[in-house]
Amino acid sequence: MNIVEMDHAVRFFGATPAVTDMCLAVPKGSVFGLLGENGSGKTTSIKMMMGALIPQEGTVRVFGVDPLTLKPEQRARIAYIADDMGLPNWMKLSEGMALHRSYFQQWDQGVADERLERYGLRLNQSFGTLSKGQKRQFLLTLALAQQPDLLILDEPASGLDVSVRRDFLDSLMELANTREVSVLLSSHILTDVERVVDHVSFMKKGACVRQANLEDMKEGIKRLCFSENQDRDVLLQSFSILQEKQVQGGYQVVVEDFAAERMDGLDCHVEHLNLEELFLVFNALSDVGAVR
Amino acid sequence: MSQDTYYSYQNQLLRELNWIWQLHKVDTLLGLVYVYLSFFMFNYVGYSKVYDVVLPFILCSTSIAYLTYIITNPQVRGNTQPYYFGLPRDRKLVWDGLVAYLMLAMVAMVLVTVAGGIYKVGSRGITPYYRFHPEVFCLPLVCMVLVLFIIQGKRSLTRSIQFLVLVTLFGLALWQWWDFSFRDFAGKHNDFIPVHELAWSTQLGIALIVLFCCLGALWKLRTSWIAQEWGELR
Repeated sequence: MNIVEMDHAVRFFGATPAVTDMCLAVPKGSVFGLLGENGSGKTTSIKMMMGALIPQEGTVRVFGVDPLTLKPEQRARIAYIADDMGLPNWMKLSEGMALHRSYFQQWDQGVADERLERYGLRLNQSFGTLSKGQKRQFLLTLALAQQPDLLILDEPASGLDVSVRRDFLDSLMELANTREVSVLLSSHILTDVERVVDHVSFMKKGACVRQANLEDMKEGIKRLCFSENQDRDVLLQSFSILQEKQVQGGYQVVVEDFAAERMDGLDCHVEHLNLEELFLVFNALSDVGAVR
Repeated sequence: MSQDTYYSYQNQLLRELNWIWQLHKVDTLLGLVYVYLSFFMFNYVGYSKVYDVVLPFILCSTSIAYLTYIITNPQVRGNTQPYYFGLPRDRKLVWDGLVAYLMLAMVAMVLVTVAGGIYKVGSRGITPYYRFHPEVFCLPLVCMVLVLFIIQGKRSLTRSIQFLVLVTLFGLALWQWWDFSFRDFAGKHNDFIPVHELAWSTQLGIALIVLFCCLGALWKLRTSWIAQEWGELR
């Protein structure tokens, strides 16, 4: 079952295309990474999921219904954190928490207290006196205490230093493991994403170019390094090639349908790709649109 | 408490109003202070006291236009987003909350203006000023439009209520200069009474035009809200 679905969603701002053809399916219980360059349409897609933006074409479904028609009790099951979010600087954490809490019947104060203690935050502090990392930790505290079924994070770790970022992501992992929470995460920091996600979607120019289980993707997409002696036609018949590059003494190809048994007779060695390399491969693709 | 009761319309509306108050109480109080101070800002010796009555009314409009803008466009300040769509709110209720807020603000505005006017010119003296100066009905609307235009600017300075009050005062000074220079009323020469009092029908006509303009604007706002063209975050 998918907790979020987008089917050929389109959104323009005036004449400027933000999302041109977005298809997405976030499986329940997954930690889903939404990846793409700046301006690829990640935030616009997320805002359409939240019902803050309305798709001009296509459909968006959250919990199986149009997010614009979500009732408050359904909306209470979604938590959202973005990098530019916060409270007014003059507001005390206690005031911010009280405001937030009033909207959630299933609010768990125990979770909030435990998180505050863990992060060393005091309720009589003003939001403006917190560091950037502490602000993010407080927002995460609010999000977790509302007991969400879906946690949407738009660039949650940008601007944070390594240790804070790691702690933040560890909290996410802990959440995903201990509760049946689906997490949708968009980020530029691919090394972080790779540690936590199990599904990924690559966006380019407002469309999803590829979506898959990360492990399956890594199994299927490999870089093959050949010498110049290797017959290129044989290679082309054997694999579907995503990227090809000349290197000294040979060439490298990235294939998307790798299988060890099809390597017989080929003189090459196989390299595994990490998420960053996968991202670069898909980002270099010229054709945009097909979701696989 | 059952889920239906907890998320009932009334409870959610109360949360909306509480949310508006908690988030904007500083600006609201600041706006009211400016309005209060405006009663003491000018003392036109030798000129009609109509300006003493009108001025707070205009500043009220400025404050309300400003608050309305930042409440209906929370992303303007960049730090209120969590309360806009991270919370279990629905569009219709947000709309109703805004209308409730506007109605409350209008009542407050009228009360402050009338109380201030009575303080300045006495309860008997307040009526003629509005009769002689029907344009005061239009000025707040003009003022609100200007404020909404100015506040669209990218610089944080132009989004501050202090800047808007300053611009409003400048506009008022221009208006008074035009009044004193080119209009033949409310001066020493006519004992501060305009030569021509407008007919009741004319005054009523002006009031009705203003009223229908307001109703039209509200209707347009509601239809665009229902058509989901408004209330988006970008």
